[in-house]
Amino acid sequence: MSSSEAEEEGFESAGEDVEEKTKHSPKKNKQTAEKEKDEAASNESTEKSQTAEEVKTEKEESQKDTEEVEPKKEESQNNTDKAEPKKEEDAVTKEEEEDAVQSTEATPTEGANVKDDEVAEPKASAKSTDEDSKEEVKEEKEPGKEEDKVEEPPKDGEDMERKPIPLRKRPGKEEEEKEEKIHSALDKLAGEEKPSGGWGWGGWGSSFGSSLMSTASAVGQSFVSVVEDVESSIGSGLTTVVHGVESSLGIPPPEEMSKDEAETAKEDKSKEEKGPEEKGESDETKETKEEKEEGAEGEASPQQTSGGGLWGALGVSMVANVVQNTTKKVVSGTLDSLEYVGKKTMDVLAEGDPGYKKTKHIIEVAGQKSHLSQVLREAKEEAEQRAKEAEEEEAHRKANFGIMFDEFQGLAHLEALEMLSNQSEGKVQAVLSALSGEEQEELKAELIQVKEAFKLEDVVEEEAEAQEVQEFAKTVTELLFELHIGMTPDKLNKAQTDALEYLTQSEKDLEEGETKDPQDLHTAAIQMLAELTAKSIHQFLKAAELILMQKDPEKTPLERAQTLTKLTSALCEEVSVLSNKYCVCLNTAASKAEKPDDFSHLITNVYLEASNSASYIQDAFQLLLPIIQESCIQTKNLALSAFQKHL
Amino acid sequence: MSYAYLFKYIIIGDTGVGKSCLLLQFTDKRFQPVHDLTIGVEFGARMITIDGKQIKLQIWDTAGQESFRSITRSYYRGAAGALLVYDITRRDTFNHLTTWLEDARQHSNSNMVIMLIGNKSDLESRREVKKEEGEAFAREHGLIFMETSAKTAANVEEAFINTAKEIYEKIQEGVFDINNEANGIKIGPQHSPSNPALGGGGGAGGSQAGGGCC
Repeated sequence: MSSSEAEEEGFESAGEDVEEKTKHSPKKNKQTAEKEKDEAASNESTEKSQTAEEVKTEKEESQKDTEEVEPKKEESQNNTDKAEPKKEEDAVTKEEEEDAVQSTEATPTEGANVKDDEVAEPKASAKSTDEDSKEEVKEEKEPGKEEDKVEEPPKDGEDMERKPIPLRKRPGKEEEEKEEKIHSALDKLAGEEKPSGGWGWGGWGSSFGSSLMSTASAVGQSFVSVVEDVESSIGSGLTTVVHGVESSLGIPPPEEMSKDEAETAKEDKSKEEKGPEEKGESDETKETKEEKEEGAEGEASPQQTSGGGLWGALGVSMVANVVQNTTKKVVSGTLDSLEYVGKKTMDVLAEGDPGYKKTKHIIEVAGQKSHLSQVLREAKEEAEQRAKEAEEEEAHRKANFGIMFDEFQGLAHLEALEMLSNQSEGKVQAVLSALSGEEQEELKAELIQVKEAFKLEDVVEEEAEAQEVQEFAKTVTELLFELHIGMTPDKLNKAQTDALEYLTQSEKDLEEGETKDPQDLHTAAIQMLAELTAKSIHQFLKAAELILMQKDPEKTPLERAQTLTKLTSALCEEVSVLSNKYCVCLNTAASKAEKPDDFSHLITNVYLEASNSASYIQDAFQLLLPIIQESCIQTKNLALSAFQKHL
Repeated sequence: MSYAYLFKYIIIGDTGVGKSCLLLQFTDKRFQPVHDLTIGVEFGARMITIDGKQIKLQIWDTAGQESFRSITRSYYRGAAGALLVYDITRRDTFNHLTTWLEDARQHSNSNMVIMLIGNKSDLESRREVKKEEGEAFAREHGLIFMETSAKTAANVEEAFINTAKEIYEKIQEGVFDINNEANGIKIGPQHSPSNPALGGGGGAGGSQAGGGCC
């Protein structure tokens, strides 16, 4: 508790001076921390132990109230983040240390611990005032060491990631700023991971505490680094304007940050599960600390907001986590808006500067000139691209049987036919169940007879080949006349004639040596099939409507059923014959093309859709059965009533 | 064509009031003075845009003849909108409205939007039914009302589109359950509804983006 408070105070003082810089500072810390880690690796054990001890004592002094265990945790976690800042600070300016004594003090120890949290922790525990706590720590340490071995690979991975980062940072502050956020997240993760000595649940609580402590220390660090920033910027003569520009340019958008956060969140989770060695501290105190620390954290690095979201999964500290997350969000949100306001102010200030304005104006004009032509070119290309896509889509659409079938209202016809069919079926069933005994048997027999008549013969195709296409219209007209419902197949015949005309023309063109795009022929074939199918179903629908309407038919239902069966066969034959002819034509066209094999799939597709088309027609035909059956009942009823009248 | 919704309409009314002509004017933008008698039902479809959304109107144009009534009744089901048409030059067609309305209410879903249309408004000299009468009837029965002319195309677009707007509003209000196809509404294939304005729209979008980045 005390440590976090102290850190917060330090942070606040620094933060007041340079809010924007706080964000930058974490980066530096991290960078330095990484560097230090490498360096520290060599010195590790000796330095760490010494520094850790020193730090602990210092912390203890400052944090008198806080439990001993917690400081240790904080240190271990903070080590990653803070260790380096100290070095930098020391090297760069001692003033910083003076400004934030507490934070700097904490940082050195952390730096030592950075690499091996485990090593640092044991020492810290040993140094802690309470011997009991020391013992506990030691016990935990052993398991932790074992775990460390297991965890080592991940650590290496982290190191790998971090090593490249320092190099990037050196080039420019802008880059550093961007990376800062990522680093802070990474550092946080690293710091948390390291403390985790064991995967067991027992260590879980302790990991919480340690993570809290680490965040707290990180806050302190960030504060220090902020101070550093200010000083260095002044020292180097950089104006705040430059900073403002940099920040406006260099700060990654919230989306990036959130990504980083998501990554960190994952890592956090794993760390938590691992749970470092903990002493007997109550979870509650830790949690409260956490909250405070996180509040500070949020101010220092808004990126972490989402990072903590997954902690609640463990359940024990659910409530605390919620509070913590909320706090983070609120704080970070406030921070974001503050940052925005700050940037805006900078922009306004910068524009107030005549020289800057002029420069900006020149830059903008130059940029516009190069942009304008580019923009126009891009716009043109984009428009062309879209037009092309639209064309392709249109072509694709026209070659799609289902879409074209719908375009010819085939689906609507089918839907209407289904409605009539269902209605008739309901009526037939109702009548059948209402009848009884002999009447029922009689009607059943008749209905079954009609049903038998609805069976299509499959063998017709061979004959169809021999049949002349021109006979189709004649056949269909005759069959419809036989139905005796006053219907002519005008639309159907027209569709068939049109299809045939196109085919004849195409064949003629091909014979005369002209080349025809197989793609066009394919589209025409699909359209022909779709139209023929739609018109066939339309014909069925009309037949159904008229049959239902005619109450005094001269044809018996059975005769009509037979005629309709013949009609269906004729339609299916026609589909087959026409698609065959189209395929022959398509084949000829394809053979004249450069790569005939490229079009084989088109021919396959035509055959496929032809069989689809035939099955559509046959399905529609079957929908007529209940309608004929209903007309059966109607005629019977009429006969009955006529008989009754006659009596 | 990709669309966000498909609305099913039915057109009902006495024979010869101009139902098929209204459909033809709406879908093909042409007028055909001599027309075959409609058998059962015929279909038309057109795409319209409401609230930036492509909506396909699937229109079932029913036969007006009395003998077809039993069949056309079967088609009421599953319609989201109905155009109830009478002829302003024939009072009897107006007098039959009540029967038609009863039929429609009985055989369709209760949320169906019904638009009352007094057709042949171009034949003002032969008018038998005053506009006020149509308005009064509509008010009384909770219908939308319009006088149209399939011949001059006056108000034809509006009649179809206003009905669609009413249906669309009902969808927004949650009155229509769009997942229940018995309501006469289908959700279209979820393609981007950008087909019509591709060329021009693309160019404009590009230049806008360019302006933004300068």
